[in-house]
Amino acid sequence: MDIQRGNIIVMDRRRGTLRAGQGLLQGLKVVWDHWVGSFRKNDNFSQIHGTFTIEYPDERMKLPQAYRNMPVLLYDDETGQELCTACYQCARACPPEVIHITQAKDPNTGKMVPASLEFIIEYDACMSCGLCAEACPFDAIKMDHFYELSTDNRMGLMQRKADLNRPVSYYTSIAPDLWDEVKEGAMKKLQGSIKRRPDVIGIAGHLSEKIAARRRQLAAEAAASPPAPVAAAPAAPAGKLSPEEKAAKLAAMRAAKAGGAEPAAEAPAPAAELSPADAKAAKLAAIKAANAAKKAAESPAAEVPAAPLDEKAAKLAAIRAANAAKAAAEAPAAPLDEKAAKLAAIRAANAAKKKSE
Amino acid sequence: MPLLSAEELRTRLGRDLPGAVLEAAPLQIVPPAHGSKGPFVTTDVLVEPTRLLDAALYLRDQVGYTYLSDIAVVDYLTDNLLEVVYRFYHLDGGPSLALKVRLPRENPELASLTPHWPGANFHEREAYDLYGVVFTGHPFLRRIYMWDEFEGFPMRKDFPKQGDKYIGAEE
Repeated sequence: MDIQRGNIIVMDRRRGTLRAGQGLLQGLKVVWDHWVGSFRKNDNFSQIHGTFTIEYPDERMKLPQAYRNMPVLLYDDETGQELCTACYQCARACPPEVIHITQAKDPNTGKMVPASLEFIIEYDACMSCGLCAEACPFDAIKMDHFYELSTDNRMGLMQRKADLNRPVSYYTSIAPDLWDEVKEGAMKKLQGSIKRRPDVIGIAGHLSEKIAARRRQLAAEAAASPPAPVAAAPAAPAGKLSPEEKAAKLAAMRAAKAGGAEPAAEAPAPAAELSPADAKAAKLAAIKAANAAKKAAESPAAEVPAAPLDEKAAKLAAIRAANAAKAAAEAPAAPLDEKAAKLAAIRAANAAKKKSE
Repeated sequence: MPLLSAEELRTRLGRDLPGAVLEAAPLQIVPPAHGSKGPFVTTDVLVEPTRLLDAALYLRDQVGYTYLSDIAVVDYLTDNLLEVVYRFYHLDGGPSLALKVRLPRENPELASLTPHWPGANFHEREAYDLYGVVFTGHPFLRRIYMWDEFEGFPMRKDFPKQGDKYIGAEE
């Protein structure tokens, strides 16, 4: 191809002819003009004098919020949880295909977890198009404003997750308006993914305190969760409904269990099989049923709408207890057992009567 | 000190190159930009695509705006056109002047400025790579960011952002 050269532009310096010594003075005048002009800030680029520049490494030009350079990953400040769920949308959207993701797995179940195990972006081939940030449904990948990426180490431009992680507070410092637009949805989605993340998966790796805090929290939750319903039943005040209901049901279930165990025992060798322990269990169940029924009866009249339910449960418990007692009585057991069963039946019947009154 | 406004340039171009300057129709920006009010009307000079080279050479040789600083492309999807923006500076300083060209999104073709501004080479290759604008007369019009086998122009607004575009595409 022919490139036509020689388009020389002659600049008119308007100097004219000089006398001896004038050149020096003229040169000094240029220096003086520029030195004086340098104290004035040139801000509309239409003047030839003034300070055009800013002192770059010390001060920087303010970048617009939507400026985009290279993608980074966000994590939540408070919990340290990463917003990324490894959904691969960015990797699919990326035109030069420089995003590589590995999804995390639950080590116990082997199932996929909405978090990334490793996240690699090859900065050297990234073209800063921003399609990954546009495609991300979780607002986890955002375009950074950092532009000083010069390096003599090309492999250093392969950024791993540890290099890409930035706190949300960093993103709000560079693009507050853009984050405000998506904040609510992003945080809501993050809460959803945290629920599905076991152990400390999904917390940015360098935040050891956050990981420790999460471990403590999970341990506390694990310690608190199993005894919670058991503790609630006896500790519940009499005025509350649901624990009573629970207690009554529990008693009924126990009574039924005791009653169910006895017929099986009575068939082959009743006298030998019906141990005092069984009779004790039946007694205990009957007592519990009676107590529950009593408790229900004692509950204040204010809870009218709940009362029928309580009554029903109590009656049911009493009937079951009576049945159990009957079953125990039918067996040709020791007189002590018979007595206990009878007593339980009577007590249950009484409780039911009291309740119905 | 060259201080030529876009308005003055439009009148001068209209006088010296009849038929080269077009009246700029308002453009829709979807979604609307921050703080925008209604359609966007450019104040820069809109040039007829076939007369771009004439206008650029006029700007360089007659007006003195010799430095071609940048070539940018804007995709106006709703108006179904691509706008190529050429930005020129005067070496003595002062504000820049822009020449704009509007092309259809299907088969956009434009005369290359590379024979006259060697520095336009990479700018035009970038515009070709990312938007698909073909510059006739360019000595080496190949993709500059993406690999040669890449299909599509990634910075166009209708470039798909979701789904598997390449994985298994050739099967």
